[in-house]
Amino acid sequence: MQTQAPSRHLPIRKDWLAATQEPALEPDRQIIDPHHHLWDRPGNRYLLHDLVEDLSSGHNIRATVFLECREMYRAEGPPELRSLGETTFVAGVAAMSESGKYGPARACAGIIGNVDFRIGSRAKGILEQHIVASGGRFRGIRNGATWHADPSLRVFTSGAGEGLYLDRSWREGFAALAPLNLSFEAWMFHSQLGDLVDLARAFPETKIVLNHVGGALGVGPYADKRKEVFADWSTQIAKLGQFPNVYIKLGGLGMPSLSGFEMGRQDSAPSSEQLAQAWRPYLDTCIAAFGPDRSMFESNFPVDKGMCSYANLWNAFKRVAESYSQDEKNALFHNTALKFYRLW
Amino acid sequence: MARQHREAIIEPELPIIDPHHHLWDRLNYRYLFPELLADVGSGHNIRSTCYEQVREMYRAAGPEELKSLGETEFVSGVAAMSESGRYGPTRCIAGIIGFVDLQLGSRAKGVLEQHVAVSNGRLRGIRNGSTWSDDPTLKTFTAGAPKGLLPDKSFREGFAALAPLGLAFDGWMFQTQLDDLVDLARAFPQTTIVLNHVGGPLAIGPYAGKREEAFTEWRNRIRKIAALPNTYVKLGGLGMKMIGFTFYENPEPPSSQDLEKAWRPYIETCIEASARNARCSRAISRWTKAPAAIRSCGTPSSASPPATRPTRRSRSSVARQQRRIAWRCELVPLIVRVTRV
Repeated sequence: MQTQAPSRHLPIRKDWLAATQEPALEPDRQIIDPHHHLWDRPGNRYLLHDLVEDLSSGHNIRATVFLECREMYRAEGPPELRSLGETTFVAGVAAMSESGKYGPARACAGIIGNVDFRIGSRAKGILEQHIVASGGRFRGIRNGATWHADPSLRVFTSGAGEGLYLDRSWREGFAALAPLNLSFEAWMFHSQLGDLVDLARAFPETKIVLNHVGGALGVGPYADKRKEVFADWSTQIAKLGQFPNVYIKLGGLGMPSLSGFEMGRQDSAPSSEQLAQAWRPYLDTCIAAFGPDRSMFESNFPVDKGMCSYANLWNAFKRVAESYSQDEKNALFHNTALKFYRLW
Repeated sequence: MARQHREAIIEPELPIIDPHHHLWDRLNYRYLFPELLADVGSGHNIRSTCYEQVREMYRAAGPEELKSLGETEFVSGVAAMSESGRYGPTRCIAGIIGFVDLQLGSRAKGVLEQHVAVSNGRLRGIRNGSTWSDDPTLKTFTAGAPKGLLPDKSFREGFAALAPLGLAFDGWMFQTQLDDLVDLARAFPQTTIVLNHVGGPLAIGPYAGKREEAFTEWRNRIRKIAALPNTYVKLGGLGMKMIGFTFYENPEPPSSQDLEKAWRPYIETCIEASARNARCSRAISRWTKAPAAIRSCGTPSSASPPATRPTRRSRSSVARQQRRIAWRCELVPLIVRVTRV
């Protein structure tokens, strides 16, 4: 059984969340949640019924996209095919949702899986198997690349080593994405964003979406350096925003690695005002760099459920978006994800 | 249930494949993966299972004939969970029996191929329930199939697509309709057919109070079906109301001995009829108790239907025979021929 590193994610405390849960702001606004997980881990189950409970907590969630998280990998068979278990599992959940029994949201209408591109040219055939196993819902691949030399950050890293996105055989695998009309989900720390600049330049035909505002760290060596981090991070974000093939996901800021642990240690879960205040500088910077047509809000649930309820999370995004036009809001909450993931 | 009977597991080592169960999420009745796991983990050595179509998780939208793809995708997802190895040693849903309306005729083939694809190769067959009756009591047990589905020309056109795809057919009908299956099996000698639930014996409606008469009629038809080499039978489903056992009215659930007594004549008849070719597949894990039970229990009570147990052989030879069949049915190559799990 897979065990959770204890300090990587905050535990989900239902009572703690419920005490401050707010009614939905703008409850009619259409939302696509382009980033969540499902898993069944010891003491931490988040499967369809749990997801549906969150999706039904007041906001108008139309569809969701599942993001790979090493879940339900096959116990046997060739290692490079084991992640097909995750895609098959999630396609099954999507089929349940499509039965119409679980409310109006189309859960897992898009699936992002995992194929380790370090296998190089063999990736293509395996990607094709994922497309079949997904029942046509497969939209892309994530290979997490989080790496840092500082040992205190090791718990947050993906284990891939330094410079994954620069690796030659990895890029050979990556090259299979665009011809199959698949996109790439990049997940890295802000200290590594230069690698993504290089990748985006090398593959202008491949759509890339940077996860979790680009991993602006707030722990370890960066714990007391929020200002310096913000400056470094915004410089890189501005650079990445220049590439028309790069998009960004606005969220993941409930993760302790990015925001630190403070709000998670409060007596009660943060209100949407508090979240909006903490997150606004990061989100505004991203939207300024990428524009609403390449930016999408994301829940990153259940990871961020350790920090806030689903209702308060979307309320916080709605507060941040108050200063944007209707068209811009439509893009940020719904249309950008709809187009990027082809969820029609 | 007033009280749960907790019996010691008989022969807990005996490997069992459960070739017929469902999953569903219905109002006040959820039977999904956790519930299945609780059952397969309750003491018997269940090695793997086959899912049987039950109109679950059909797509709410899209072309009518593709809606059942939702069910196949749903259970493939559950199978993938099981294959992660996190949920114990049973390979749950190693095989899938799905639904494609074979009355689609020549269009069935393309839809079948889509099921094979989304099942990730787990699809083993198709069931089209054909239970039909004009009796008002029996009508409530039918699933809307037209009268005479199996002889229907377009149905048979669709049916013809099964064998080339390596798929079997699960037949489900009342005992009154079994001659249709004889005819179908003769017309398609290359298609493997497994009759569900011992062929739908009846003891309600027009057969209420006439169990013996119904039994004789059922047995004669079962023998005809068993004579055809491409037919198999699933031994179970005898808990359904139409077979007329009313254990559910008792304050306590039945013991395995109660069930054994009630079910034995039906199950033995099928095994006897199939024994020459050993073509029976067991649907009920409880029947694994049979060999030991046969050795230990007395003759059936006088309330039982006409004795069908062989008189020329000792009980222990029956037990040996059944044990042999049980193993041959559950393990390679027989079940494999039906379900390739």
